Amino acid sequence: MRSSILALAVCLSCGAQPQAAKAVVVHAPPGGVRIWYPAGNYPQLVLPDGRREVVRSMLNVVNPMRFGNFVWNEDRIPKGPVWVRVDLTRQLLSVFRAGHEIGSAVILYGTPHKFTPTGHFTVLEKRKDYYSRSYDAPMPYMLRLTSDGVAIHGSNVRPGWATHGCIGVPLDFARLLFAAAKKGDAVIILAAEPEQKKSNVH
Amino acid sequence: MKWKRVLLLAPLLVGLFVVAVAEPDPRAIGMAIKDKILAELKDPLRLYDERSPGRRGSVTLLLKKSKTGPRERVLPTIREREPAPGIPASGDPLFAMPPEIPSFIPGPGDFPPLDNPFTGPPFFPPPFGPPGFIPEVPPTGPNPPLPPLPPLPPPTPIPEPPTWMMILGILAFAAGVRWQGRHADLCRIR
Repeated sequence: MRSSILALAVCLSCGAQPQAAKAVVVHAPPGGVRIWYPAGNYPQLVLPDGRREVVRSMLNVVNPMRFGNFVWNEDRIPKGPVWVRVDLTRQLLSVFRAGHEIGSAVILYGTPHKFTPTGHFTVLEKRKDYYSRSYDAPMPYMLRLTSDGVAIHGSNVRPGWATHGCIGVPLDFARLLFAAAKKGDAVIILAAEPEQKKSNVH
Repeated sequence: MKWKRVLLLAPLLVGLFVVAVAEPDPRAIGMAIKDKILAELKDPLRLYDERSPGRRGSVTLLLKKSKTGPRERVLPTIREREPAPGIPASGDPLFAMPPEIPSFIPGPGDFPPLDNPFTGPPFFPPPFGPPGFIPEVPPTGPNPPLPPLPPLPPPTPIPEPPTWMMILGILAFAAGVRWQGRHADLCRIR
């Protein structure tokens, strides 16, 4: 009798709850830096070409970000492939490493007449101190995406402004992104969607 | 003694028994907690919506990106006003003939009458010395010889001693500053 009761107690106390607590580690809301998704239940972001990228954790940004602000945190994030997601609809750029989001910032992008191309790109060139002769303007920490000059670079990110097709990010964020990304890394630019369109998360 | 231990463990055992009866599957508790946590977790796009500044409205191109080439400032609106008098409204605006001056035709009051050009009391100049007096200048002889000039002092060396002292002082000051800076660097390195 005693042994059976003790076995039941051990089963209840150690068998179920600690297993769940070990699988679901939530360091996030309300004040945490990062939201960790449980192993086996990773959400996926659908890319324009149909591929899906697994998201293991996201930065926990509760309030809307302002123009010129950004978040960057790569503590406890292992090394791995880096890819950049540019969301023109939400005016956000996110940097992922090994499936973990390590940075996010509000961006500037092109006007309807000088539009930003969308799709799948790779970093073709990195130039720390780049000066555009076409536009007679400095473009620090430039990551070139296309051969015709579209790039991600440091810019004065202010509300109500747009670029000639490049993606402008805050200067400090551009420095961090420049250090994190390397030539050949993927950059996904999502087109601006109509407001009625549904989300594409799975 | 044994009964006391049983009494201490009784509430715990009763609680475990109740839980076991209410939830026959022991993993159900863990699954419920897991589902609850998963429901609390937000998907990435929901997080993007929360942090997004919103959709973009009307925008303006960044001014710093100006095309190279001749720069010209253009007024935002066309200003129209009456042309200045004497300048033709059309034609080359950079050069215009001056307005034609009409010929001068004197009127009756433009000149005083010639027989009495001045008005007012008559003017008499004051007398100047007695009439006919011319002072006589005494005759002068040859000029006396000038005294000889004193000899010029010998030229002083260039730079002069005070200048040398000033240069040496500047060099000494610079050497002191340099030594002090080097000493400070060594202290900082250590």
